Amino acid sequence: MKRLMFIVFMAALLVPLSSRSAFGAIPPADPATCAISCSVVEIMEWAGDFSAITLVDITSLTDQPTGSAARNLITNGNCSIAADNTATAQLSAAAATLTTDYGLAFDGDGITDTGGTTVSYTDYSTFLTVVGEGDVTHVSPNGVVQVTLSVRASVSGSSAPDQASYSATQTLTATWG
Amino acid sequence: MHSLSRIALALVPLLHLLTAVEAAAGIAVSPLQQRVVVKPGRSGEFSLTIRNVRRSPQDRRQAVKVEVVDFAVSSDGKLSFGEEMAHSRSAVAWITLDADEFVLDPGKARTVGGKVRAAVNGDGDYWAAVMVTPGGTSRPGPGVQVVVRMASGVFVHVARRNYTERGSVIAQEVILPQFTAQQNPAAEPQNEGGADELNQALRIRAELKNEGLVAFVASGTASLLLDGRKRVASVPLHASRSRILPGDVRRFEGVLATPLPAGDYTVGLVFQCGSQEGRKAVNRSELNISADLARLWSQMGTVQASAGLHVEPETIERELVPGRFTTGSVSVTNRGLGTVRIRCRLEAAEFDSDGSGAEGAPEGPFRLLAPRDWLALNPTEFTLAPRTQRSVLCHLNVPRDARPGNYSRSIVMETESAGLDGQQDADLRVVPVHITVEERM
Repeated sequence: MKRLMFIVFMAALLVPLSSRSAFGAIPPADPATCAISCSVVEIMEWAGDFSAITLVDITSLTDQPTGSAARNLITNGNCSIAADNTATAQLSAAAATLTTDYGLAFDGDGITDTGGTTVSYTDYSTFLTVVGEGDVTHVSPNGVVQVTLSVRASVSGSSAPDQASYSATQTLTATWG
Repeated sequence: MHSLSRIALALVPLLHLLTAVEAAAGIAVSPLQQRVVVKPGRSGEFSLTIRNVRRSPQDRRQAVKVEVVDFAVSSDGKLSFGEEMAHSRSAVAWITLDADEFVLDPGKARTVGGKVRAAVNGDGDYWAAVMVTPGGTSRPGPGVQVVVRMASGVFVHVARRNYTERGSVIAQEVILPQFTAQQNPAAEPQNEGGADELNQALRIRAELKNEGLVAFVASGTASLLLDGRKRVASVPLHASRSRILPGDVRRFEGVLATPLPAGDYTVGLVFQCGSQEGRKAVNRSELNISADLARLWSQMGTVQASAGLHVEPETIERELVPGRFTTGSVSVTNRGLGTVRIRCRLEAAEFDSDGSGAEGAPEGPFRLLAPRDWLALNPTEFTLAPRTQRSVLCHLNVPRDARPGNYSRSIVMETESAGLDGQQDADLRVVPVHITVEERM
């Protein structure tokens, strides 16, 4: 009996020392940590989609329908936007063309917030060709700027253009600053 | 007048392309520029990371097209891309990419590898761009389609020998201040739209050509010498893109808003082409300020003030663990009407704006001097046009064996404003950088 009690006593002493004891306390947490680091280099991203834009029909020589669409440009450094100044950017249908003007606006001024200078309606052939136009100045810590492209169509000359569906493609290229 | 038939116009949603893939979140590209150094006839490698950034559960797979294209830089620093921009120092034919069109799932990235094999007779700098177009090839359709794309510059240096930067001034002109007819009845009528404030300043324009085989960053100053002898004013010259590729011409402009006295002046231009070893490009022209103009300018002109320069933030504070890399930025805004040159450097923490060491103990916790190699500034020198802003990046790299504690250094900015000698403010701005290095876990 005494021998049995001794065994039980020793077992009772040993159980709490076991980390897996069904009767002992839950083992203390043993946290393991690791330091994670990463470097961020220059990044540029066109994010989201331009919303659909519909220009109203031209029904007279003086009509100048306009429309615009916006998209976010994400950048962590200065960059610049270049435009297509070739005939591809002019509204045309076969040999007929319309006067096509583009404008660009940012939701930041490039001084207090990431952005740039607003560009008024400019003929497609000279859109974003003037010094400073299209330049995006990054102002830390804001890395997102909303870019709004506007289009204005009008009749070239004093005679009615051909009845047709006019089309154009404007390419905006984001480049290093 | 004929009544017009209806002409339907529509702008379709952006990011078109490949019928199999619908438009999606965003395509991010990194880096934006890189330099590859190779020996003649040898190869070098570079890479570009392209990611389809996931922002919402609705984001979809995105097709991406990558291609190597030529680009040209205009004298005003504007970039143009395409086959028509091919030139004698094009690197397009040397570069091959390991991918041209692929599809990225949302949240996925792909590293596109590029290989540059320089021609045996290559000598100096060559360049091209990797154009990344989301969605692949555009489809023609009614209305106006808007294509967006991103260009990443690849600059190849063929190291055949040591190179000396060489530039020459190929054009120079001075535009005198102009005032309205009401202000000066003898003046020519102003152009439609009226004279803006810049028209009431003296503007000096110059075109600098890179005559060498390697690119360089140029900085220039115009000095005005009265009667060809005594310098009375200096004007920093600004360009939108001061790095000039071989064969390129860049237009610089300096603006002096401070009125000049009447007299005959010599306008001397001096450009530093790249490193100190680079040759200087110089040119001179003559200028006359009539008594009438000097009187009008004095009455109507605006005096350039150093207070026109705004720097923020006042302090950069960062908390890091050893082995961490981060950046801070200082925004410099030129609110004045003249050009301003800013030179940046790093100095010891106890640096006061009057150029002397700060007296007494600095405020806040005791700070050790941060080792110089922890920090780097980019850029270290630039010139601001009137009413423009630029950020100076402060790269901070704390080594893995850095001891925890508080550290400090100062960003010192020396400014040189366009103005009369003796009246210009030798402005010194100091931005302390406080770094707290925490215990590494």
